[in-house]
Amino acid sequence: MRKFILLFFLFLPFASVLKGQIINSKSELSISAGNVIFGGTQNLFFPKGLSSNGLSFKVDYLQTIYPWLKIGPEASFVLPGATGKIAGGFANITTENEKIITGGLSIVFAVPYKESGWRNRIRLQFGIAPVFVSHSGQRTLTIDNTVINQSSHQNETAVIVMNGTSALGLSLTPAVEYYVDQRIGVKLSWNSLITSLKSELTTEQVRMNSINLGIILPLTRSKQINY
Amino acid sequence: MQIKVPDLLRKIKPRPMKKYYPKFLHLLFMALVILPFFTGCKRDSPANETKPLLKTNEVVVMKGVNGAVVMSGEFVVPGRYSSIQYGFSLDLTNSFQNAVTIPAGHDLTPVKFEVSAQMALMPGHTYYVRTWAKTKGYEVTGNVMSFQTDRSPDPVIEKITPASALWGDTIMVTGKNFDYFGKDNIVKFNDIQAVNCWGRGDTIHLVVPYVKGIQNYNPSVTVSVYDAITKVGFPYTIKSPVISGISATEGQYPDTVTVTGENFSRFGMQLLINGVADSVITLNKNSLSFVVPYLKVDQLSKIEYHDPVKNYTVAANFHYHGQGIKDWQKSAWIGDTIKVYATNIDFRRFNVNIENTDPILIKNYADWQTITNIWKDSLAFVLKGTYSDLTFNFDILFGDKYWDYPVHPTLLGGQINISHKKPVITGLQKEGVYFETLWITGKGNYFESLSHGVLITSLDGKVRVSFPSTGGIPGDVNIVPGDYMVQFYSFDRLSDPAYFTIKAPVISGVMPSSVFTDQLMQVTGINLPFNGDYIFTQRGTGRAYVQHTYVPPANEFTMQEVDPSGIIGAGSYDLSMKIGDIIYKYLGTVEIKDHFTYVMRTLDPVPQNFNYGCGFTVNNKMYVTQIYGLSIIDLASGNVRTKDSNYQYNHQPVFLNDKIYMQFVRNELVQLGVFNPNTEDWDPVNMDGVSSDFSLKGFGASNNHLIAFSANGDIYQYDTTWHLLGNLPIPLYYINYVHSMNGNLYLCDFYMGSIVVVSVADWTITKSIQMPATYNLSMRFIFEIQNEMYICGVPGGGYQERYDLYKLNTGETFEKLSPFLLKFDYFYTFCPDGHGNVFFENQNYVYKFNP
Repeated sequence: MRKFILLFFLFLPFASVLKGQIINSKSELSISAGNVIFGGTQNLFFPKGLSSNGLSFKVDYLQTIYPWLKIGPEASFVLPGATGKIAGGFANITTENEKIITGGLSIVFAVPYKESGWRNRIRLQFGIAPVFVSHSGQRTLTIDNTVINQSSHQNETAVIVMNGTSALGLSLTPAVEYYVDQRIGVKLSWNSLITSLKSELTTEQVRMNSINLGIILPLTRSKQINY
Repeated sequence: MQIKVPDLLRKIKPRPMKKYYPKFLHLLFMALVILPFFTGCKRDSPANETKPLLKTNEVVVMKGVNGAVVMSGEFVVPGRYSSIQYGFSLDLTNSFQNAVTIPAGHDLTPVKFEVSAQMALMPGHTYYVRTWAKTKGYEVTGNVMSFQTDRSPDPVIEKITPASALWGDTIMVTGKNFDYFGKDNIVKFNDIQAVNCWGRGDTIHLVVPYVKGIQNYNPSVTVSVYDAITKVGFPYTIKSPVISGISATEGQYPDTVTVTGENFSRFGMQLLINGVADSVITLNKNSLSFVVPYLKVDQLSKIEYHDPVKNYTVAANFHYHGQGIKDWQKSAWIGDTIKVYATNIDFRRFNVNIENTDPILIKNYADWQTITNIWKDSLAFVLKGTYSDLTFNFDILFGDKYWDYPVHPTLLGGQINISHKKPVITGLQKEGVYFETLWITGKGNYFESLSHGVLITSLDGKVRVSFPSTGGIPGDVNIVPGDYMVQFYSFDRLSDPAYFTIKAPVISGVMPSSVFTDQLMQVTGINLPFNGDYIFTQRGTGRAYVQHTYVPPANEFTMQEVDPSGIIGAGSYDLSMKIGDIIYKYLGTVEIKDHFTYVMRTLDPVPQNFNYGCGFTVNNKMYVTQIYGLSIIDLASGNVRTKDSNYQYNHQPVFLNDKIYMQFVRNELVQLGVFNPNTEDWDPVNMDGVSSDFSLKGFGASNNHLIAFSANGDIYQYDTTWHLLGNLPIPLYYINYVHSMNGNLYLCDFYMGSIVVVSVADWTITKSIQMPATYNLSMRFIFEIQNEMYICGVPGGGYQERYDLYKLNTGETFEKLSPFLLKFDYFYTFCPDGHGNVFFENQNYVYKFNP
């Protein structure tokens, strides 16, 4: 949240420099990308705190239904990437060609547009989207355990593999938008994807957080008649 | 058409928001309904028997008095198990070779688990922890974590249960910061460590150690673990004994007395009797028993229970009944039973042994007496042997019957003095002859072969001999005829004397007065000795021959046999007897003749395997039957050769018309053969007409015919075949020889020792003659010389070294030709030739007999 406030004040000077009025758009397209941070609770395949080098790409198309509500499809492409020792050292994670693609309907609650003032150029909003999540590639969890089969008295491996799987999820996206002019804007968002991915032995609740920075392209504008 | 502005406005106005509600709400509703499913909060059902993969989460060491090691872990994959145990392993190395196991649970669907172990750990060490789980299918150990220990928290004793106890009781100490595994807890009572200590966690069980030298009943208890120790000792209470009663106030050794009370303990406890510790035989918390010790004299004794802290009086005046030996037999023979009486001693209750205080005086320390009877207040023993007539002392050693003697011997301080009695002579054979054993009876202290016996002294003082003896006075060359005094001696004690006489011999006659040198002669007289030297002194030459007689007398002391065989030269001899230096002369003379027989030849080689008794002589050759075959002695040369055969002889030969018949067994058949001198073998005689050769019991000759007798009494005569002549009314089991004389047949049955006389005229038995009884089982030979029948046998059943010769007279009586015929060195075989000559040999020489 502190990051969010910091960005807000970072872009605040632009609002005062550019005096031109921005006409509210009726629909918009946003494209953003960012770094993925895991935040799950089970700490297995996607443990919290695992050093992250994953990437997230997201595209939204939103249509203004009311000044405070926008609805539209969204899609994201995630390369989780992150591998290595899990904190505490009880297991090691490796991946192979792993990708996550999501798609769903985004419902965005926004601070309504004003013809003047900071709300003419800056939009604060919160999006929520049920999504379909597709996981492909392989993620392997090698656990630091000694496993002895009681029948054969042989050591067995302690490995859990997550192969391609799919699930439903929920994408939560608080964001701040700044319209540079009538044709383009900048969008800074925090996206949290919550889903459950199934491995061969367990189903893990996964939370992938990412800070995305992207652009906004207003597509149609509203024409208001003032009386 | 008029359009009103409000209508227009109404038309161009945006559609009321409420018209969008259904669409929006529909979407929102769908989202909210689906959301819970999207979140994936729902957990799948655990798989069955999955690998219980583990994660060791963290170890936290809590410090301070309430310090603990908190270990947490979890199962990586949810699972359901039919059985499972899980927990943590803790060790000082990450190899976990000496790990201790801390269980955390056995939930069949485990997830996370945690253990908080309030335990003391070795300070300044790195400990390693890992999770573990064991299911039916797998045993899994998780990742290893480590932690560093600091100083252990001080153990704290919170409670000891029960609040008081006895030494050796098991108690329970509860508190904090003990060694979790119970290995390194050191619990001390004052400064004494409880070595028997176990338990874990916050509970220690231990056996209360005995604190030697404790001054009160409140030892201080401390627990130390590694470098930490209880700051303040926990005061504990040891129960003090309480005496409530005693089962008896009087008694004697080895009565058992029981003391009752409470809190008795064997630790540091002693039962004191007059201040001296006594053995306690049973002890429990509420009673003890002891054996009243042997205190000798009657007294009032103080009995105390000694406890490490103080003494408790059990009985101030316990009446001990004095014990000791009261009376005993003062004088005894060896072998006598001696009875000892005692006061207040029930010998039946003891293992009793009588011990001589001076072992030198007894023959065998362990076997000088035998206790024969034990009663209440008395016992009896047999005195078996001592070295001397003495007064000796001994004690009675006894112990409790229920204890192992001599582990707990008790010396009964009495003494017994016993004197040997003087030996006495109660009977004596007062007269005897030289070398006769005289019997003396009496009573002395005889014991095995110790210094006991008789002392004999001649009245003229010339002879003084002693005989160690247990029965009588043995014959001895030194006890020559004369008068003697005899005394028993036993060690250094002599009996009163008794007297006996050895009488002088008198030779009254010799029979026969004229003998061959190979005959035995018989001396008659009185007081003849058992064993003496006879001297033959030849008249004229004075040559003397000493013949020692050893032949048992025919009639003790009045008749004796003398062997003159060593005398050379026929002539008249004076006979005398010598005993010691005394010579007793026979007033008559003895005529000694040359050999009764003469030696023909010395045999070479020595014949073997004689079937002694059967043989014949023909063509100047002796044919001596062997068990299988013949030994053939050439009388001209003495040469011996052997002819083997499968014949087995068992009868005497029959001479008839210059032919020799003999019955023998061949091929297990009884057969009759006629000897063929040319072949030196037997030509078989035709046995046709005889019912069964097996039934044949004897052969003989009569009226120039062979006759045969069967077992059922049939008599056959042989011409060219056999004819039945008659039948005897008695069965004939064994006929060794048949002699024909005066129209009668004499059937000799050596086995029965009888001769059956059969009349040839009508084949009836006319009489039965019994042979001299002593010959019936000895070696016998029958031979005929000039139609006279001679029987030679060994008197006494064949066990004496001579033959006697009898002649069957016409009157059918046995005439003893001499009291004795010949000495023999070995068995003889007599071989008549059917013409009045008889040759015999003894394996060394051939002799010829001439009556």
